[in-house]
Amino acid sequence: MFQTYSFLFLFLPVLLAGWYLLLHRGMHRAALSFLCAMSLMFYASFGVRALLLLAGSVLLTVLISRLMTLPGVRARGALVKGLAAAGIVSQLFLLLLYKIPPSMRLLLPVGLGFYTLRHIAYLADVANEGERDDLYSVLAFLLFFPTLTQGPITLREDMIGQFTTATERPFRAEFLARGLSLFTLGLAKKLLVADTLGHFVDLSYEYLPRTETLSAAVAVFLFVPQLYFDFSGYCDMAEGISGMLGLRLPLNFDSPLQAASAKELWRRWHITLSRFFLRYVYQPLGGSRRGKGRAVLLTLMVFLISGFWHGSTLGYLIWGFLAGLPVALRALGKDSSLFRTLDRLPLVLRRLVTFVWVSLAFVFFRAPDVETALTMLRHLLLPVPISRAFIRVLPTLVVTPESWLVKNLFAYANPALEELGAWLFAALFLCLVIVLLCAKNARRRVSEWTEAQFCSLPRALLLSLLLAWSVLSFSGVGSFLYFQY
Amino acid sequence: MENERKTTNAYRIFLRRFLAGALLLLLLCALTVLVFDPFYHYHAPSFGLRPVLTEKEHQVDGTLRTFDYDGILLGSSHADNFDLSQAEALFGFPFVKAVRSGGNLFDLCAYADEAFEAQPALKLVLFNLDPAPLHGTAEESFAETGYPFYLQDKNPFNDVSYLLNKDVLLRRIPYELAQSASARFVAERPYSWYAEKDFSEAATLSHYPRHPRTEPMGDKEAGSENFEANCARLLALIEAHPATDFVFFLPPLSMLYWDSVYRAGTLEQVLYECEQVLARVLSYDNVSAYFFCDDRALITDLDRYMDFTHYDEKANDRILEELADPDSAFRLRSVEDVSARMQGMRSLVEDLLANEIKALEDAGRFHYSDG
Repeated sequence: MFQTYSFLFLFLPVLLAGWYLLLHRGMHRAALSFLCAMSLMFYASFGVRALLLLAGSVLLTVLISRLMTLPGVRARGALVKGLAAAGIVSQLFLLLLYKIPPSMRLLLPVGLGFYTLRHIAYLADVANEGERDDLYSVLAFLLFFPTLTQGPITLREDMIGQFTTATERPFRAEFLARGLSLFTLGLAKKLLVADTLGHFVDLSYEYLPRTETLSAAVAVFLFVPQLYFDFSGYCDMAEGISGMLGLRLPLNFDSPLQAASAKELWRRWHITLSRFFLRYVYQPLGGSRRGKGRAVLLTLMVFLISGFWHGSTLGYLIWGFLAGLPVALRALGKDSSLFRTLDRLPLVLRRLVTFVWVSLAFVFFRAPDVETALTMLRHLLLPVPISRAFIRVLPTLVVTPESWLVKNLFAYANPALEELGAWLFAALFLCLVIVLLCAKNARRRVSEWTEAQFCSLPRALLLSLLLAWSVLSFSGVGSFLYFQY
Repeated sequence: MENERKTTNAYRIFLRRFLAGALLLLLLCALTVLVFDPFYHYHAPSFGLRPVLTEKEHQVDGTLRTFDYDGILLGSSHADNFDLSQAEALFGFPFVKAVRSGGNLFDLCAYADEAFEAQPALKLVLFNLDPAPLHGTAEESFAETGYPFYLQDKNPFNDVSYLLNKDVLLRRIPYELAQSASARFVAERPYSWYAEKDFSEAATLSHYPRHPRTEPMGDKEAGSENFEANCARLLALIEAHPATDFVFFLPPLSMLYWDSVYRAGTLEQVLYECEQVLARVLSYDNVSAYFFCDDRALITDLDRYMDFTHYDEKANDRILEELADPDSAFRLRSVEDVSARMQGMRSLVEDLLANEIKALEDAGRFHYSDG
């Protein structure tokens, strides 16, 4: 994982030094081999079984893609299609093996859901385009560790060219400056924001029988920001590391919680997964070319498949359905007066409606089962006098070092003020979350910084502070939410 | 060309500032932890601070390594409330406490090894033996309990988990400073919990989920495999340190504990294991042993307990006084004495079951577990 001392202080410096040293000497293949070896070493930390499975999957994809591009085979379209189908079915089998109902489920190797989709897309692309890629670049693409465990789900067109031309991008201080900045912001999003939000959400689920409207609202409406900061934080780190290596990853999150409609939100949330489904499922099945009705059904099907990709329980399927429903409805009644009226609402209201809808859908994603999700939604409608409400004590139960310090500083002044301290921390933190959600996202921000802005001392010091604070948070942090997919 | 150089310089300046800033901040944090060292990993309390020992998992290893002492007090949560200043007054030299919840014998022996490594001329080991761990897991249980190994092992590199730790910096150090300055904090009783607990018959009974039926009495040697391994570990410790005095003692668990083992059908096993371990340790010249389980006045007074095994801090004080007294009535003088006391314990349990326990049962004071 990126948020470990060994990764930051040992793995990353060794990686950067080795990569640029080899590129500097023009040893292109050695540099790519080194990157593959480091990626395998990184992935080995998740266990030998997971490593063997990844190695097997990569070998199969490479073998089939090489076979497909042999001159003798390339000329025979049916054979190419057969080989691609065999490869894709093998990857799907691997995916389904681990996504079958939970009672039968094997322990899911980290990142399997992500890398099998990448392999499927690669095989489909090679079958369609028929080009033979440089073997070292293909291996680097399939094994590239920043994208291995949680995406982004990169495609051939995103990465192969960059690996093939890596020697053309020797070390530049700008790569390191922008990459480190984005990595730091991603790290802070994960460790300082998402994990703290997680305390509030987890406590509300833990004390579910005691929750009422307000504390249920905490669980329902803070989970989506938690997931956003967690997953997009990871993606920023992955992009930051890639940037340091002089590589670019496709955008995966584009401030989705600023979207004013469900359709827009899903265009900006986990973009590479949506792209995969659009390109390799929706369009091959006809897309919008075969009439409105079919397009709507396909849209719903894609969202259901997306739900199933996250997990085979009923909760994920309901989430997929609810996530896709507004998109499908809008496609169906694009010209209806209802949608025209909705579109005329003030932007802030449309954003709020979108956020509320997506938050309600995500209850089925977060809750361990449908019954819990329904209970949580029921409690959301359960008004209780504030004197008896669980929300009163919820902030006092959150124990992060920061909240502990604030709470106890107040208690030190006057023991009766301890609760006030906890509430103040919660309120300030919530304000910070809202500001961050409304602001420009980290990736956009860093890519827009000019060299003059990089020269600003306060900016450098603020980033230093964020990095140091994040590093101090390494001990006792949880894993990423998307590790389970 | 000129422009490009300027741009590169801008990024280089940023990198220098950013990395130097982060490094400096991290060094400052590490230095703060190093100076205050709330887990005493590097040094004993400094700047006139009193030792603030409240988290055994994080502090026992450090105190064993960095404190100055001649005696150690080893044990389970039953040993948490002992007063080290009383021990020092009674025995004439300073003590540290090495306690482990559950009292796994391999864990306690590992602590003893650490103590001997730090203080080879250790004078005295006071060793609290609970009956349950005698047949418990016969291997160290640190890994199973998420133990902070970076505080235990000798790998200096993983100290980074301690030196660069937000929890240590924002929570443990302020807590250390505040408690050290607080007149209410009792530094003499490290890891104690008595102040937060309700010692009363009602509390004790409410924390005792009684087994719903009496199981047939099991084989006394049912746990012999683990028991023999635990005993061997204990005896190896004694043999390795012939110049150190060892005092083993079994604590005064309440009569409800004896009811629980009777109903679980393990009374004979518990008595057999107690007898065996005491007899075996007593075969060494540098060992003495005490048996507090048959202190009828105490174990029947449920107002002195918070649950069916944990007694109040006054009981700890009394135990220490007795341990310091070679003529104590609780002392076991020979193997024959051990046998006689165990026979007496068996009779006492039978008597308690027939009288005190029966009275509670008749009064409907028990609640029962699901079985």
